[in-house]
Amino acid sequence: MTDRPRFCIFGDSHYACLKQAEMRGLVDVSGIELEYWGHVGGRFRHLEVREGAIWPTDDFTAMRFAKFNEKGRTFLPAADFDVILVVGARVYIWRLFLRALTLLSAGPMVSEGLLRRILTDDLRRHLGYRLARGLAESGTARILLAPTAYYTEGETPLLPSIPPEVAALIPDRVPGFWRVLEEAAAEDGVTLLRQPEETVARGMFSALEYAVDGHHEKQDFEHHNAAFGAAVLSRVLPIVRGVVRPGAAGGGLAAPPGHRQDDREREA
Amino acid sequence: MSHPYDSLPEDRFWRTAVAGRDALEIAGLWKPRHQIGRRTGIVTAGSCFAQHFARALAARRYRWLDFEPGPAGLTPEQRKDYHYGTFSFRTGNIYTPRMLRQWLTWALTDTPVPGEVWEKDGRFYDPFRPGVEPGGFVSAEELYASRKETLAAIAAAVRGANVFVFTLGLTEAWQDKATGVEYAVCPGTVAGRFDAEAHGFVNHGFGALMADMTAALRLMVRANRRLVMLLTVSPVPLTATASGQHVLAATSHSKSLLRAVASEMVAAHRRVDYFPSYEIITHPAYRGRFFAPNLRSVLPEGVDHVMAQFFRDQAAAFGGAEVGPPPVPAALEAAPEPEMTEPEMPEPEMTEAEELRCEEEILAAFAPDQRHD
Repeated sequence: MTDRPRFCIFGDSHYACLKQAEMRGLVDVSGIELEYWGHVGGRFRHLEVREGAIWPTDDFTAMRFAKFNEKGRTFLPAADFDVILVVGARVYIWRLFLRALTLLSAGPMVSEGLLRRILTDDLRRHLGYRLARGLAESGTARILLAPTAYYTEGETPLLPSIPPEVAALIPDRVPGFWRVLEEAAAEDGVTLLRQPEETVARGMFSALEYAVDGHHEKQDFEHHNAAFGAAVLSRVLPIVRGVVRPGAAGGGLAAPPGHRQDDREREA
Repeated sequence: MSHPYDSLPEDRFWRTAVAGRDALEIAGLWKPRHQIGRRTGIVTAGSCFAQHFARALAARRYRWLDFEPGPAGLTPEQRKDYHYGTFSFRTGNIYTPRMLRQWLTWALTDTPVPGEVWEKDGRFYDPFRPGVEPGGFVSAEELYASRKETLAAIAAAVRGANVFVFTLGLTEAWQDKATGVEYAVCPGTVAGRFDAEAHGFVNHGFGALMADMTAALRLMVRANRRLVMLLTVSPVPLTATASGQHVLAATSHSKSLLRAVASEMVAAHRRVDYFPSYEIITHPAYRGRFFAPNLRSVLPEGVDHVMAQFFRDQAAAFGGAEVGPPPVPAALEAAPEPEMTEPEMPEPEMTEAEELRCEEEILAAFAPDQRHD
């Protein structure tokens, strides 16, 4: 039993930088019961959400997700936490933005209503978003979503997709796109987190100083470093600390009836 | 003594052509004037039933032309909701010959569209196609810009088509009393505000219908001398009537006039033809079998039967193999989970190198001693 807020960071490899931020002492997580539950994005297609929990659909995936979880969880029940931060999870907001910007720059005309519909439908079609929404529907934990960050700025394979006429639209349009998606996520009970402003360069890229070491040699423009993780967590931890727990009852591994952390119930 | 009836084929006699047959065996209703083949460029417009025509042609890989396909990558649901691909341009339903004439006038001449817009809850609706933008446009300027694209599409459609298929739907409409401009629906129903001083009901008579249909044809032929027109009459009864009559009687009145207009247009213009989908769906010979229980909606099997007659009669007139029904879709997999009813966003496959980078990042954070170098 605990009075401390129970916080889980659930994600694909993009959650690693948050762990790095914690390990390097860049953020203060004292007073918080923190767990991580994640694995590489390719395994996310082997997850499903039902009855308020994320379930791997096979044993291998379950073991991979359990590997670096402090309690060896083979599934993730929302009811065991006060706040779950879904990180990355193959939710590529920037791809939605790029598509929208390309449509706007190319013609034919796209009305604001249709643009909103395209953005929200595309968001809701992401598997990772559906997992977040499924957790939110349980009503037992607050669900935050920090989508996969923008590509690191510089000479990247992404650049040919952003010709000048598309880039010109970024400053005016991207903030509005975020608002549309925040509203849609809120309807679904998910708090969508924008990429922290200080980490953004040129409106739709991540600043160089947040790239992983040797990003260019590794051709890794997607992952980010501990400082980035700290920037995200600095937005999230106040939310976690603001959770008011209803006393010590039902803390720790308390699971919904019928779902125990150490039993893996599988439906046929 | 012989007489003209002696030498008529059996499809000219009720007993042999209709009463003595199973309804589904009634054939040869249409003697097409113009060949419509797979390479014929076909444009469709009109009332609800015309949508079925477009879909049926496209499904059988006929050259149905869409001059306003909308932004790339729209899902079928988005296209349907925003009326892309319903007709060959994004006008929504065009119910009367007057409405058709109006659209063609605005698209093919210098006559400007009236600036009137309808408002509702801070959003803006086009009085001439209020249903095409769910929730309305964000501004009048956006509405005008969108309409401009539709007008360009209409002009391109008329100029680019071989056959213009128009389904006549209604004789009843609402107009601006001062200008005579006709609205798609009664003001105040979808948006806007009804004003009894400004808005008037009209139930077009035969003369007006013929004049508008003739004018519409003239506009089109002026833009495309090779264009032919295929008329149909929608079999769908009126949802409601403002004529003061019982809706069943009002429906009969409207459809009778429209059917007569179609026949007169055929008689007067070599380039106009009529396809009897109306008869196939509504005639008592078919005993209402093609209507849904609401007695308004046409069942898919009705559409299929209509199109089967279309292609059979084309083949009978011009030779060539009959076109069969469209291919049946492959059996669907088990129904998705209730929370995943929309198709998933296709994700690019991760390369091996990308997977390795992801693993490395996780190991670096969670198990730095286990990293591979």
